Amino acid sequence: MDGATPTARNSSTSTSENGGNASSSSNAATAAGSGSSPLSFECNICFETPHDPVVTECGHLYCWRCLFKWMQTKSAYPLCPVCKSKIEKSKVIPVYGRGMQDSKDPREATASEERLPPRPRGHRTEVPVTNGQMNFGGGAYGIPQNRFGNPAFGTFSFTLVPSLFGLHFQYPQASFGNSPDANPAAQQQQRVTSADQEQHDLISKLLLAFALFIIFCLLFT
Amino acid sequence: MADGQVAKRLQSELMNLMMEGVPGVSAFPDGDNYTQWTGTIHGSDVGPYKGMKFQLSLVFPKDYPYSAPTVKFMTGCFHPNVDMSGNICLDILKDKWSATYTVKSILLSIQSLLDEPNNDSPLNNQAASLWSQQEEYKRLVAKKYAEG
Ligand SMILES: [Zn+2]
Ligand SMILES: [Zn+2]
Repeated sequence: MDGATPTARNSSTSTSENGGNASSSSNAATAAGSGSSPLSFECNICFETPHDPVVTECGHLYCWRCLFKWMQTKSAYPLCPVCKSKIEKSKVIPVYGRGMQDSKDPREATASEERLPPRPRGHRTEVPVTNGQMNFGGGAYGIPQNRFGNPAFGTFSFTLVPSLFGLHFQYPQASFGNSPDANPAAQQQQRVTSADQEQHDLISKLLLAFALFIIFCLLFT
Repeated sequence: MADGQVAKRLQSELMNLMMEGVPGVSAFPDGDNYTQWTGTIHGSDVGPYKGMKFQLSLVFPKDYPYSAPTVKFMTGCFHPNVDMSGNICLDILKDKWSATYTVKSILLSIQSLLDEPNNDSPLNNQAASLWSQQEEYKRLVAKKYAEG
């Protein structure tokens, strides 16, 4: 075990944040540790190979149990022990090595440690799927939405300039029941579109509706 | 952390200290259980404590490193932030404690505190007020050191 590296790095990083009293010691610590290897993947609290490794937003490595215990001791305003950056449980990132894809039952850890919650899961971002359908012929003018959760949820649609254009806007957020003319295929596709695209599509469709409304006014006044 | 884990962490710190050989500071456990250590700090070559050697006691709590150890001067030390019983006023041993600090970083911080006192919150008012007159300060430090 290479015990030399973490202490040297820790003390040089940690004392540097402490103003006058500790500032000169940080120089001393850096000098003392300069000979050791720069690479070390040890927990910054127990100095061992991390058990259920996690990384904070600021990039510092810990065992999940060590970091959790530290956050509990400093529950009012937990800071990263190494760099004093603010840390939050929800922003802690688990580290999965090869073949370690959270294979262990997290409840095992709960049983052996006192009230240790399961390590936070990684966040995945789906690649957005392009979805540009426009049914002018009286069909649904669907606004793509991310609706992974509940397929039984209905969509509430209201109609803008109904008789002339057959233009329908679906507002899936307000779910009061199935609209009669909602297109099931369109809904299926809606579930795989990213939030950014929804936003974009919504804006362009509103602009289009507004333009049509202006033309309508110009023609009939 | 269970007691075994406290000992494990302190063992790794000890190994570190011995392998690195940090100039000016050293520390070693008093017994087999690792909960009490004796540390030594040498005054730096540039400050008023040049050539002096101070012994400190470090007592580690059961939840170390989540709480700081209790650190005291055993050798008398005339200093603005050290009281007559050897208690030290240093932020990293109190509210600024971090689980990543080590015996080494504590001793190095105390070593630099010797030359850079915090005169705003003194435990020894006489030392704090005398700090601005370095010649007189040095004379008194040497006198107190000789007395033990
Ligand atoms: Zn750890
Ligand atoms: Zn950090």
